[in-house]
Amino acid sequence: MIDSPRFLRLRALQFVRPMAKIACTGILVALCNFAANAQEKATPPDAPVVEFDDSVLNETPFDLITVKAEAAGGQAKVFPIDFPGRTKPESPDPATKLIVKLINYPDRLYEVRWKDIERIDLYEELVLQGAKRRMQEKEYAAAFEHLNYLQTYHPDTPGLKELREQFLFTSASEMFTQKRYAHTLTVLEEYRKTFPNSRATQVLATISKIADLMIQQYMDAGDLKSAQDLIARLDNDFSSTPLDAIKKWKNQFRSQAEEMRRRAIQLRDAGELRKARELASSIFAIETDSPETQQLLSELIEAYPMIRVGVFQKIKDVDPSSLVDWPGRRAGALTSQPLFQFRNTGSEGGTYKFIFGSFTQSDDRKKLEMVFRNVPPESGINPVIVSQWMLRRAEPGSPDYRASWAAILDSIAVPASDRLEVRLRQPHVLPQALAQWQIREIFEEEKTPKIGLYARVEKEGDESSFVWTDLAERQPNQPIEIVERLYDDAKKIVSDLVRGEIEVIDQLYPSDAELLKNEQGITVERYALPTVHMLVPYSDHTFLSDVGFRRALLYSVNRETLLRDELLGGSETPGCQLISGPFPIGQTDKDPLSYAYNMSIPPFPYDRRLALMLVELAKKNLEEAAKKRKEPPPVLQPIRIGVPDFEAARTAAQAFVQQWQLLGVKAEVVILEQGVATCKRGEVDLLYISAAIWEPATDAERLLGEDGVAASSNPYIVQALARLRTSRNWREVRQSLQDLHTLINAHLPVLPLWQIADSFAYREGVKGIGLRPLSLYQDLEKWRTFIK
Amino acid sequence: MIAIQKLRKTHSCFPEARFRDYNITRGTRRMGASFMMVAFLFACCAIGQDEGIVRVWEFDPYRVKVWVSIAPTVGLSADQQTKLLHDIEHEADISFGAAWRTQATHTPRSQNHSVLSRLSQVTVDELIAADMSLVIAKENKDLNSVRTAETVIEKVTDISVSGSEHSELEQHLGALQDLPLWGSLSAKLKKVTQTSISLLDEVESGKIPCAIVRNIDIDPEQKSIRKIPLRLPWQSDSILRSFDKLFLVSIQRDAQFINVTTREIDCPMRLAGEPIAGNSIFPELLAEVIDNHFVHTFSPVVRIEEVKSKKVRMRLRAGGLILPEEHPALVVPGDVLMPMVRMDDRNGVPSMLDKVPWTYIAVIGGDHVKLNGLAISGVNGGLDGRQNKRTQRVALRVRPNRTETNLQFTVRTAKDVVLPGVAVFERLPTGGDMKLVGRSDWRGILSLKETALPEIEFDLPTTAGDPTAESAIPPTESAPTSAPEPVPSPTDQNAATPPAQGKAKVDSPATNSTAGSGEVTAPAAVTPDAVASQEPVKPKGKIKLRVPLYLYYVRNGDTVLARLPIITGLNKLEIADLPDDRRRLEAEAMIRGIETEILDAIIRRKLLIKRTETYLERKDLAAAKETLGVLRLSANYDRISERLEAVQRKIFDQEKGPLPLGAAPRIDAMIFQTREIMQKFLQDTSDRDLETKVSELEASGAATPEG
Repeated sequence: MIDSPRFLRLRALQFVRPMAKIACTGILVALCNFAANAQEKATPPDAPVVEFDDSVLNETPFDLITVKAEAAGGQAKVFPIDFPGRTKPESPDPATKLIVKLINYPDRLYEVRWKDIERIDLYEELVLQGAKRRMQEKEYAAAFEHLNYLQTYHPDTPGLKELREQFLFTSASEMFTQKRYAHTLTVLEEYRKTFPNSRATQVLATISKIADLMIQQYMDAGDLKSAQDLIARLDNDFSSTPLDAIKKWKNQFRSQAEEMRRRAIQLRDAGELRKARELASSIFAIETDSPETQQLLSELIEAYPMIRVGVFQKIKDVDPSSLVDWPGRRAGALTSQPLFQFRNTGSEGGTYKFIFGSFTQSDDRKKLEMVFRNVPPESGINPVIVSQWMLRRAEPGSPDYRASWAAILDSIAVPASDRLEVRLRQPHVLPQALAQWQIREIFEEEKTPKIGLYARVEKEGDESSFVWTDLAERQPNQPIEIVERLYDDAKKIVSDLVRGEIEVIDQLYPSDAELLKNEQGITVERYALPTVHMLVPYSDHTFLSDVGFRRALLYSVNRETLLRDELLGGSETPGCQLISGPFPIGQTDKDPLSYAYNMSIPPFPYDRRLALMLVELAKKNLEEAAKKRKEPPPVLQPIRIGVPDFEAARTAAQAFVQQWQLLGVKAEVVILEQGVATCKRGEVDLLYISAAIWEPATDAERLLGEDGVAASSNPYIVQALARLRTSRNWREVRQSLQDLHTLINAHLPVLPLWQIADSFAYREGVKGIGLRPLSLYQDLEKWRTFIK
Repeated sequence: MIAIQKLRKTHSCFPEARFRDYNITRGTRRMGASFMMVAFLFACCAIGQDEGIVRVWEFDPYRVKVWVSIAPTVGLSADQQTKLLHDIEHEADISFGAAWRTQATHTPRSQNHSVLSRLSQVTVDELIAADMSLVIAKENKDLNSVRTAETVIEKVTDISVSGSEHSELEQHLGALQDLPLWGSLSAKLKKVTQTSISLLDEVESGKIPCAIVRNIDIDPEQKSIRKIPLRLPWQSDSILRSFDKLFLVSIQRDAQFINVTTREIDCPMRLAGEPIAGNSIFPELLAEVIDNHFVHTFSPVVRIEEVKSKKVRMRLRAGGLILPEEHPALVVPGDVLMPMVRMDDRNGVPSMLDKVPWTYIAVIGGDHVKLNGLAISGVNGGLDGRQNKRTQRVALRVRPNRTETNLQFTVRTAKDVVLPGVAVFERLPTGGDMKLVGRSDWRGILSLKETALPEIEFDLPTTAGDPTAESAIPPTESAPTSAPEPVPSPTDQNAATPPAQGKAKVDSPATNSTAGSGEVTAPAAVTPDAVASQEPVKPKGKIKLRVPLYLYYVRNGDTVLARLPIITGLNKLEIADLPDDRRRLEAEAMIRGIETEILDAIIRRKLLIKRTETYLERKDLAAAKETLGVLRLSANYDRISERLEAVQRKIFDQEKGPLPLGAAPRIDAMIFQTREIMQKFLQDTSDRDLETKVSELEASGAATPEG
């Protein structure tokens, strides 16, 4: 319609006239001509009828003028006419003219005589019509959009109020039929608020009914928190006219709480404190304001202090010094102790604690002397036993054999009954870092004495339990039991923490950490040291053996976006960043942890085009190699990415699959068994690991050495590790590590991804966790639990 | 038969079937031995009048000495012990016939304890160290020119000797009184109470003219003392000179079992073999157990007569005394020999005794006296060299008795430095595909596991000049198809089948010829190139070796450092001294790293240049400018060149010490090659050309894409 011949003619007329002064005259003439022509053709075959979008909301607001048929008919969209109060004049003088601005020609003004106007449809009237039509068509969302517009911008539109009432009621009925109770409730509450006197009893009864249904649904789903939240809100909102359903549920909860309290007391009296404690916690969850419950829970916490920890990764094997097994490392501190324990990081390596006393290293760094002082007599541990253990660790073929230890050990002596002397082949900066072995490994399994503060109790299902071992005297409120509860849903774990079903979360999904910081009664704390995440080639996949192909995999993933948007929830989190090597980059420029990181090497940038070319090149190279060997050309098999079963890893791996698909590289995610960080070589092609490389001087060997998770047979890497091993001082160690970083970046025995500064959260009732621990249970002996 | 059954029960270390077969054939061998003995005597008479001087290698039996050490706990009486010695000789005679002349005695007292308690660790040097020698002072003018023990005994009036040595001398010299030298020595012995150390001091001070002490007591730093070998006939030195093989036998009791351990020493080569152990419940069966050990540990010796290229002609010791059937002293096609060289000084004392490094000879044919072999060596010219009266080149048959060998790589110039991460590839001794076996660990060690027996291919002798053509027996031997037992049984029918009776497995011209035409066709393995060259196709033979001998290629990064023939299981540890390749590898690691950067830079630049050109064609100035900006920031020749120079400085850093010999040119070559790549692909004027084009487009006023 915009380009109808008549309007074009008008425009032509406009152009032949002097612009400014006679503009109005021109318009007038044009409209006159428009009308005259209309007269000439009483029933014009091409009378302009304005068509507009299905939803006028999508168009620039306009009013619609319909010209009488005798004046040539047709319609014109004009900018909203500035009627006072947007009310059309009831009886305008037919001789007068209405000045308008056509939507299509916003720079010009036009006039039309009132006598030629058949009708004017205001924009708000058109929107209202649209809303009505959509309601008839049961398109409630679209209708709501129209009504909402009117309510916001034209609340005085005639008929709006009636239509809104009709809309709310009709849509509520419809949603109720569809069993969309939450929506129905919202609509009805809005109805009640907007039209308090209309169908008041009926609406209140319906709201009550819906509330009842919703609470029942929450209870059936075990979502007590949501049920309680709803009850609390409705109780508050309808305090003047209490809902029957709320009364019913409150009574039900009260009696349920009463019953639970009675059972909890029974259990307590029967000495079953753990069950009583758990039951009391549940009461507290459904009846927060009950002083009796608070009193009971307080008593039970004192009688049976238990802390429940929400975890994403279940424990399988306990190893307090594990490089890649997060749950094993976490629980290791509960049940075991390493011979040497990493306590903190420093500019020249970490600080370590010898678990049985003290140790010193000779000035020439060729001797390590241990003095045994704190040996529990019942443990049967003495320097001779430990020396034999150390020798077994250096004996090829022994099940205890550790290549990294064997490579530095020269001899062992026991000069006195409380002393042990380890002599090294050559000076080593941190021999103790290679001896972070679990004490319980000294003994055969059945003869293992109690070593950790807690002992694991076999439990089925999603819970792991650790109970106090009585090795030391337990202090008041010191937890008698630590329960680890497995979650696979990040929202659920946060929800449970908030309402007290658990007291601690050991590892937060990075984006949740930011959200939880604002929650009252919850403390979010960062772990002292970050983890570095990488992909480890884990099979003899033909293409993965090509370094160009491995580079292509890195170039093709937009890691920066993936880290920031997917894993960190769109925020910039200090300590979380891309890396170009397998060592931590630290959190600040002066972070001593970054001593191994070669800052001059940037991470691989995102460059999909380059990646595509590299894949093609790899194909060609491998085909040529196969041809030389008289073998068929290799087929690019799908890459299996083995991922430990936690959300951040799963999310990252899914992103890799998608982005590699654009390269023409198929991949699939293989979720590893719960609590398992690695698998057998060959079961997956790439293994996602999050490694605690806190002591690069020795962890490089633990990662890439012969018995490392990313054991590399690349001669360049093997030689670089040998150089690191023989580094005599910290200057050489730093240089060797930075050289190793350079080589890893070039030859990619592992594919470095990013560094994550992990955090955990706990409720106020838990005290003594300490600031920025290395792992959750690091200061376990200081933990206390109270009611809050 | 009863005896055999008993043996089956007690000798659990040998498979029953083999033992039975072995015993059944003994009767046959005894007849053959008698016949051969007659032939040998006849041959000796025909060759020369003096049997003691002229010895014909193939008709000269092995002179074998057996030292038997019996622990008192075994409970054998003196008579039983004497009978055992006799039985050992008797059993050896049955097993080896004319090929062996055996003499079994008690181990000399000075060696007895070592043989009994630590047989596996006993070395030849240790045996000689327990021998007695004469010592005189260098300053002693009367004895200044004396060189032999005979002269000393003649010149001195008495010879001092301490108590324990005196009693040993008395015990043995008693039986040698009739021989003038030993009778004279016996008469001049003077038993003293001093220790050997004191005697040495007295000789040094001139207090006494000479004394007899054990070699071990003589301090090599005692420069004023001169040692003169006494060569007492029962001592190790004499035994090693007079005999070809010395077997050390240790007999001990362990509960109801009598444990027997035997070890062979090749006397001329002074090479000790691996010990072998067995047991018996009955003392009367000990001789048979020991004889079995002889059969399994005995290494026949061949003399290397001619070496031409890789072809070796050899002659088997006592081969003429062996009937052509299975025999423990026989060497058959498929066997592998270890070559050794012995050079003697004028006095017949070995000045050099060595294995030819990283070299073996595979027997590919022969008639049991004359053997044809193929040298499989990791070193060039390993078997070359002169052969004369004082230089012997022989080879001993070897058989592994374990299932794995640790191969360790050390740096030639610093033996305590090992090479970790070195890749090892396996290949057939005569070529073929290579297979990665593994890489050395932090100790520089790679464990080689037992593998299938290799089948090798070789040129069949065709010309007169071919040293192996003479005997021209087609190498038709086929070794057992399965891997050998740690110690293969001599009675294994397949293993010992002589070539004449064996089943042919040779791709000889006959097998490949067109029936009736007599034309030789090219074997399947012949390459098209060979056919194209119009040269006559050499007929090939194939043989399966009886031991797992393979060539192992040692690669460090991109460089092959060595080619090592190794028999898995022969030695527990093989140490390969390799050139110091660490600095070169370090350089290679850095340069290859730079090369990956170069590749990425080349691709990235090409893509950016192409994109910029496309934008220019579309007259999209803004996009062209933006892409050009990215191109300018991307890695280019200058930036990578700087990086390469930094790497170069690091490689040649003087602080790291001088580069090992040969490393510098290799590193230079790598750097040169990398620079060439950079110059070829990165050094271009694309940036400037595109800048000009962008400026031109800008000047032309184009600012938006066409269309």
